[in-house]
Amino acid sequence: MTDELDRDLLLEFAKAEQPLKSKEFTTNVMRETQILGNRKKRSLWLYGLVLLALCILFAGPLVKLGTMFAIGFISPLVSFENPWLATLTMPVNNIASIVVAMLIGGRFIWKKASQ
Amino acid sequence: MNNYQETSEAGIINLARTGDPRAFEELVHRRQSIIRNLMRRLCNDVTLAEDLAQQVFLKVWQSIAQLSRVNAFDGWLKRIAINTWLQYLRKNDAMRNSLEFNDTVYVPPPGSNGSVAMDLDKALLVLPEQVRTCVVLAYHEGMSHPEISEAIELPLGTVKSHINRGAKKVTEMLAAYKQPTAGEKV
Repeated sequence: MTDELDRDLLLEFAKAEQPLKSKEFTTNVMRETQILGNRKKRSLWLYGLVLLALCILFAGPLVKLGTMFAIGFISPLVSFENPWLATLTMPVNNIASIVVAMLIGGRFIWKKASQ
Repeated sequence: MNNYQETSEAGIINLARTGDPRAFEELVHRRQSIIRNLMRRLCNDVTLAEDLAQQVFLKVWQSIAQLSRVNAFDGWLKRIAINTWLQYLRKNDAMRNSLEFNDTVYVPPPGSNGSVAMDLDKALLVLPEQVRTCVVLAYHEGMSHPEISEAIELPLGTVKSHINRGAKKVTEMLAAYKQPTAGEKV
């Protein structure tokens, strides 16, 4: 520390540093930590219950929606009569690959624009 | 409890990081004086100081698991204490309060047998919160002017001025406090 401070005042501050009795304070802190812990546990239980209720209510429709999206994403954009050609183009011939390509392109443009 | 009392600082901090309440209790026991004294100097109100010190230890309990280095504990604890005080000031808009010295709150009773801590606390009470914070952080915590400036988000020049003005005033007050009454032998 290079700042100039009044030595006498520094001494006064050092002298004023008195040890304080710990018991009551420590007990209070520990009681508060326990209250805090109980509150956290209650909140976790509550969140868990809400999540469970949401799962029970919406699990069926969500699974259906997910399945629809999955099927929609992998269905071919162009249908080929030749099975070899269909297999060969399968990785890029679907909506998912178009979406991925758009995301990569968007990110590339964003990077170029922000340079 | 005996095992914990004999455990090293690093051991206690490590155990507290794992969520051991008894280790944390021992840690509070070992550090409470430092934090309570700091808070008493900062806020000059024993009840408020106790409340803020308690808040400090609760914050420590909630986030000690995130402490990456055991030997950084003391600095980290001090930072939490200072931030708790600053949050309190901001919440109560005390940082924007008047910067005038409040001479009316302090009437030095000459020849009184008050303790050094009491004298100092009374003298500090004269200072407005912003100035007192700067003085306490410099003189009690040993923080440099740039560190204080960064911590309390005030320009360096203002911090220096607050410390100089505040220290001068406190010294004057302490000198007045120690002066014997006219009837007393010198």
